[in-house]
Amino acid sequence: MNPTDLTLRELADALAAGELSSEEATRACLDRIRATDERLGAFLHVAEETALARARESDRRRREGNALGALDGVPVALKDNISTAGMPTTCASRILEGYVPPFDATVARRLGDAGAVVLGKVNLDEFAMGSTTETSAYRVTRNPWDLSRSPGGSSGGSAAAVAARQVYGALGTDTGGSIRQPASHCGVVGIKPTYGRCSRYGVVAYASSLDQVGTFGRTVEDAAILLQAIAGHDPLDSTSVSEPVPDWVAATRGASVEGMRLGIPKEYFVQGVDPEVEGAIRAAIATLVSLGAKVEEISLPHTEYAIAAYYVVAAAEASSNLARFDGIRYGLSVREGGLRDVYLKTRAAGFGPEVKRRILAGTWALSSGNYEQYSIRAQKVRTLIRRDFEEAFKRVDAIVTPVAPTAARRLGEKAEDPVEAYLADVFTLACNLAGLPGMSVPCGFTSKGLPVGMQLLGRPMDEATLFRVGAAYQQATDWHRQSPPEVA
Amino acid sequence: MELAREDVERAARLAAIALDEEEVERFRRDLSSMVTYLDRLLSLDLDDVPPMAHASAGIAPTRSDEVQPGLPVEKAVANAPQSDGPFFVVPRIIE
Repeated sequence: MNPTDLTLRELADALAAGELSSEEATRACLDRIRATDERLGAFLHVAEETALARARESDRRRREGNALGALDGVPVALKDNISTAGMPTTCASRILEGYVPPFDATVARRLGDAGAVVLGKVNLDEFAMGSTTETSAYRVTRNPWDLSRSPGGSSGGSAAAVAARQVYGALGTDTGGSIRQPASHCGVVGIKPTYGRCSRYGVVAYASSLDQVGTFGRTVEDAAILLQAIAGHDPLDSTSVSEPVPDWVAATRGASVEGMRLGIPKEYFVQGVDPEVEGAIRAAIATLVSLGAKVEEISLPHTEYAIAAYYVVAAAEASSNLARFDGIRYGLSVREGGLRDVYLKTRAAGFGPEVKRRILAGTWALSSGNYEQYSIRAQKVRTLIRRDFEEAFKRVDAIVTPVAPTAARRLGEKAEDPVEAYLADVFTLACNLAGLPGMSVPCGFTSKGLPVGMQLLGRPMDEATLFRVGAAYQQATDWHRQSPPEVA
Repeated sequence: MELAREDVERAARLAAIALDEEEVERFRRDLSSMVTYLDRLLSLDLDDVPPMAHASAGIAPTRSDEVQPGLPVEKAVANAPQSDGPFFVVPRIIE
């Protein structure tokens, strides 16, 4: 058996039992990246030498009886908007070409402290703005289940790398669905925890009131092991909450949904949802019922306003956050004319069209005359969306929905109108606006063999329930055990 | 709502992004389409609804006011396109 066929948990057990070394697992992953990544395009940077050195350190610790835990020696990848000291961090943008951060993001440091072996950095939509990974300035990432299709986005590289067995797990970020949607399209598990659960120190900001770091794994337990290592308060990020991190890995073991109340929001089963996607979600709900869950229809009445509110809030915050890229302190710099010319020309040359579009939209929405009309109203709608969820969670323990209206799109099948592209995010955005935890769990395939994910949404700080539901579902199903044929 | 070219040019000026003629027109079309979509926000009665700026699950914790090690200067300027010792070099701004 090839070591890359193991799940993260299986690898951890094999390492602990001495059946495999971290160096062997790391070499197997590097071989697999070499064999598949020209076709797949997940990686922007492979750190072969440092990864092998860290793998050997892990093996030495283990020999000496000082192994650190489940992640010690496990090869993983990081989305390239997470700062890594000494390793390039580009955000898939020309404006950060060649930038090497002088420090680690807290989540990267915590993975390192847990002994994980970072194999490299993976592709994303430029500054995480997009849903297909096609706005990357560097390369196209393909869906391992169908190379003519997108892996989803913006964390498309993370999802594709895990699905294609290049790594055992990965970190991503999720501002409006950027973990859950690619996880769904690539047939892996992806969780965005509660806003504030993970530190964002060193994570390049897109929309600060929505951004959150999360994890990808082949199984719910694998995603839990990774999240367990990175979550928790960080004095360097004042938005990270100080509540203790529960034992999520334990929550996945022998998990049961017996007696659990699951809500099915009627606004998420509407026209425009692919019948095959809806069929897979309905079948998954039936499975959860057969496992003892109680299901009831609920209503989230302001769902139809979520996209509009999201795009105002996200664009406004992006226009402010991306002001820092000025060609003076790091990254691309077009040195022509005076200081103002440097700003204008550097930003014109460094940002791609989607990033410019969102900066301009955000600047427009924040400018006088539009601020009250759009920005404040969007924030008020956000309150209504949050209240919808608060009402729902008085009656149910978790909510089950599709992740996206369709399975993975064909590459290049871009909507002419940006609004049309944004509509595909309809089921994932509200979770970020309300700050809830959300998870995507593989729950079937379309007739074309494309994976479909079910979304689980929970109360703030209640990731544990999502892990229980997801793990109970995976005990009863084997969708997550399928391997993509295209990169076999 | 249709935006005018001037609306895009004003936003681009505020955001410090140079746009060519073709981009101004493309973004005018894109933003017009977005703003038309956003008009659904105007149909809601929001008078008594407070705005929500963030979704923090708790109150931002405080920490003691102690000096901590920061980024050393040589690391801070290591990525600069132009630097001079511990300084970032910028074009002259006062003639």
